Amino acid sequence: MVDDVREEASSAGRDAYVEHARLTLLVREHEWLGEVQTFAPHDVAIGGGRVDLRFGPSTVRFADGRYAIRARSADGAIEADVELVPVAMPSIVNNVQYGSGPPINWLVVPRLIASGRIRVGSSVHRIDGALAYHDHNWGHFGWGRDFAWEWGYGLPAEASNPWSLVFVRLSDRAHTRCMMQGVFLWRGAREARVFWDREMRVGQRGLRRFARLCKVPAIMGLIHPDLATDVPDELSFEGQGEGDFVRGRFVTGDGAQVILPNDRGLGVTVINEVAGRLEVEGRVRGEELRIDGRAVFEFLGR
Amino acid sequence: MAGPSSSSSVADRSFRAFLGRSLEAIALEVPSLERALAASLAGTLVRLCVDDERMVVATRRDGLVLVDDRPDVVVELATDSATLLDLTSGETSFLRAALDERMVVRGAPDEVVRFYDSLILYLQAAVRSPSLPGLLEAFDRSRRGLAPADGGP
Repeated sequence: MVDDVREEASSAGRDAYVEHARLTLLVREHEWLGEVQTFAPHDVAIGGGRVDLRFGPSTVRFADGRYAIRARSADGAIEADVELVPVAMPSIVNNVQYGSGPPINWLVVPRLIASGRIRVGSSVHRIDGALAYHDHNWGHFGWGRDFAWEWGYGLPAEASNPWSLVFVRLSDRAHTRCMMQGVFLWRGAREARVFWDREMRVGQRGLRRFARLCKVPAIMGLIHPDLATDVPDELSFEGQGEGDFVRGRFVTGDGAQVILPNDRGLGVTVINEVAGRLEVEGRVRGEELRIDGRAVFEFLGR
Repeated sequence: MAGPSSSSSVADRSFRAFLGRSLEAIALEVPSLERALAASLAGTLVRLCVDDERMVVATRRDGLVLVDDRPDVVVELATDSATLLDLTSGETSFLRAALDERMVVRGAPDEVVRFYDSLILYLQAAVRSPSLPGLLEAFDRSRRGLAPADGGP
């Protein structure tokens, strides 16, 4: 769910701001499917000082220690009714500066237990105790500015494995200048280690050629029909310091694109959502860690 | 800005009414792109044939207007509203629709290229206009014989 205040040129020639409420729904069953819905102001309610949002028939609320999400696509093809209980402490990264302009902020909850049901067409998927991830970004993104990010999370296939991981890297759009990079590791509920910036090495191999890409909102596929991306076949990272280390490899699978018109100019910003497999090994404070599971990584700006 | 000839009553469910409303929204909400669109099509007349409707897109001052059919057009686009809605919902692409002969564009190559560039510019403006999703949804619902959504146009 996005409550987006964007710059807009007013007819008087001055900068003005317009508020857009959007819901992006993406599911991956046999293939990716999704949409972006926009809502008129009278169809939106956002409670101040708490997590309590209603966009049309879709809601996100946090109460009694759990997130409750109800989401429905405009045509009714996708429906989700899911509860998520956080089981790891959140991490908050404030005032992330990227390029020129105001900073953004990021709150991440790396591990939640999800239960409920998701319907895609006539297929109903019951979810019972699945591991899940949640984050919340806010600030002034200024789509089209000179920035890109690579981001992903890693949760093990077995819930008994206590390790959770989040990877993030911010760079300029050409990927020639890194502004920030890190790997966050949690053991159980608590953050165990963060590898930052100079402790890290990040590499990419190959270029993924997608045979098809689900593009949302669909109308943006007319403006940006290209299948060529520079999403790598494989992204690897390595962190080392103070006797600890982590090594990870994300192997790209299939993907979808969320395409946003830039705030200034006629360009677009493409957020590639990519499903794949993540393998991680490492050692933190003398304890071995290993994660091997499905993951979603996001490659923005290209 | 779109002239009076493109304005329409709320109950008018024609393609021309939808296009007129969308041009009015673009003029109001993204005026710089309306000017760019007018500059891109300056002096060009484009006939649109959608279902059984015929209309001509023309430029006037810094904006676009829809006028009744006339013979001196340089480009003609013929399609149906089902194809237009398949395009906006991602069910087909311009290339696929052309190959399937669901969309036909006639004109000299340079004029067709210019028209295509203008069409993309129109879409660039449409995706930046907060009103367009609602207008498109209302058009879609009218074509499927559904009542307008609550609060819709």
